[in-house]
Amino acid sequence: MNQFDTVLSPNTGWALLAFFGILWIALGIFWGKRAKDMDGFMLAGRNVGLALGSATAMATWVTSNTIMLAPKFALQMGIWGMLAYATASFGLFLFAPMAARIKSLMPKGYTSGDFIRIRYGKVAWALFLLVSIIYSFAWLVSMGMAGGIVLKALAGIPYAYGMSAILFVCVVYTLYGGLYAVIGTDFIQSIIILIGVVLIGAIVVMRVDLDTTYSAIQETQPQLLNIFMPVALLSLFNNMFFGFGEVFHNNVWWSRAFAMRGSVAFKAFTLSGFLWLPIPIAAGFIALCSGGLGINITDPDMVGPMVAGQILGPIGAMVVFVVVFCSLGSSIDSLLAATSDLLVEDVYKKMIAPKASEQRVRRISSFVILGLGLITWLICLPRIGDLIVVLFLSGPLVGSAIWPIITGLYWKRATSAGAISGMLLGSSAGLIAYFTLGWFTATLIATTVSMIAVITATFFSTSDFNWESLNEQESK
Amino acid sequence: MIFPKKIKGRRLFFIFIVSLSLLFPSSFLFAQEPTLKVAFTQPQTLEAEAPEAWIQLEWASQGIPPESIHYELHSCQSLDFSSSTLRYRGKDTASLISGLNPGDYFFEVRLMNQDNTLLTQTSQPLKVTVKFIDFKIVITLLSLGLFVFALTVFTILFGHRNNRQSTGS
Repeated sequence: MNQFDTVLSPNTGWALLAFFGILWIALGIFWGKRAKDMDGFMLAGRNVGLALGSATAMATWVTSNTIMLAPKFALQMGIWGMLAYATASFGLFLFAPMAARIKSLMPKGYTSGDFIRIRYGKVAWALFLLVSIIYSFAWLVSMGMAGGIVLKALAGIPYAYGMSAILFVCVVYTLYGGLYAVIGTDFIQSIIILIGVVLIGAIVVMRVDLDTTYSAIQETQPQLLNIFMPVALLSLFNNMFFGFGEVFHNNVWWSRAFAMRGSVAFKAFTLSGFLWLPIPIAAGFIALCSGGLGINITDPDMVGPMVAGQILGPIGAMVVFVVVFCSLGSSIDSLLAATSDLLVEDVYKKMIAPKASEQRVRRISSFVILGLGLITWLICLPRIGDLIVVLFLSGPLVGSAIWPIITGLYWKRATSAGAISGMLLGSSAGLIAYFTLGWFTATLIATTVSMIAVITATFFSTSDFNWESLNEQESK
Repeated sequence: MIFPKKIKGRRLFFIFIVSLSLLFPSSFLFAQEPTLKVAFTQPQTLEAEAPEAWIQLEWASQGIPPESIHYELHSCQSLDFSSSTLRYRGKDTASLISGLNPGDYFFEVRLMNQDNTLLTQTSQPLKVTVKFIDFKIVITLLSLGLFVFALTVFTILFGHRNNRQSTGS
């Protein structure tokens, strides 16, 4: 078998795509009927329990990047690379207490943008929206591209067709069902992902001779076992802060915190972190076995699916196909819904038409979801570069938002000046580091600079923020 | 005017036909066998750096149908390839090489026919230099990372404790 062969036939690929595509759209329409008002459409009626809450958080965090970038990290940076990707689960663990705080401060809140606007004012809010939208597009584009790449590699479906089909399915069911559909499908997708990954991992462990694998790595890829490999060590903190930034700032996670009922948020995010943690380790382990198995890796973005497909044959490739499709679906739908909420609630309702009727807001929300899907499709179409470049370029931006959010939630003296300077200086320093030192330092430097700026501003501040003002509905 | 117009036209046509008939056989004299060639297409220069200990190599061949050949990718730490390592053998035209120790590496692709005879190889080897980021910078950044991580966790957990006390939950 060589790089031009595929494990599955295009017909099998299209059949799987059609089956799951129709299933998600049908479920989206079915669950969408429960969304009677905007609270239902945007936040699933604010009544999500522990099982659905942890499943949706876990499934959303298992993105195509987990399935494709975690193995790439392991193959390029060895053991530390594999663990570096797994540190993204710390973002979920730390967001658990933050979610409880968010729920207590903003029981009727809608978006992370709402919080920044009330807490820090309009300038910080505009900057935050910019950061969030750039990041959301980077994430969406990286997933759209991943979908096209994986369908082509496993089933020979042309990149443009595969990518378009996945985006189309996700846009349609999010359009009809809102967060009800997203959370419902996430639950099923999380079960499929967990079973699939455990199955693949178990079969690989049974088929691989660990001694041979270790010897092969030691002989031809010695740095993968070096615990002092500089890039791998740095990527540990860089990736961890990237994960913090992604989870802490993005409306995907805030909308889930708002949607969960009562005290569920803390437990749900903690549980989802534990459920997610082994997935990148299993995916990374598969990639580390490639050398011992004599598999030639032709495309680093495709290490995981390629190795799983070659070890497990057509059945394994079908499992990988379904797992990747589920992980893409569960993340793209969440991101479409949460970014549309952010744009509709924060931009349309707050800036353009504050008195718009609920019906109109719902219609605008549909247009925004369609527009986001269309723009993502247009950016994905030319396959602009490698996944890591697309995603990690947004790292400095989200890293610089970590400290403005944490201090905004917990420190009364945190100020707008601190948040603005933190985001501006952190992003700038991080981007400079990206192009001078390397991607593996960018988010780390951005977070550090932002933290220093925020703490310095807070130190000189005399502000005494009134937490009650965050509960917008009550204070009106 | 020496010739009437009609005769001049005929003469020119005659010269054209004679020239063509002379050129056609001479083209066989100058024609060459299609050149067998294999070359790296990625990276596009003959020297590359790999600060992250990995490099993506891609190559292409010309002059022979791909179904009748395969490639061998060899690496060596000396230019003479006296003790080279076979990195890949097969029909793929790309390979990710990772986990390299710091130092200089030379790569060459050999074009082999079906009975494993060498047909041709890259005219010049590709030199890849693995040089890591300065360890002082690494230690500084790691210390910063550890400090920021500890402070972030402390701030959140301390804030959470206060939040629980204030809400009574």
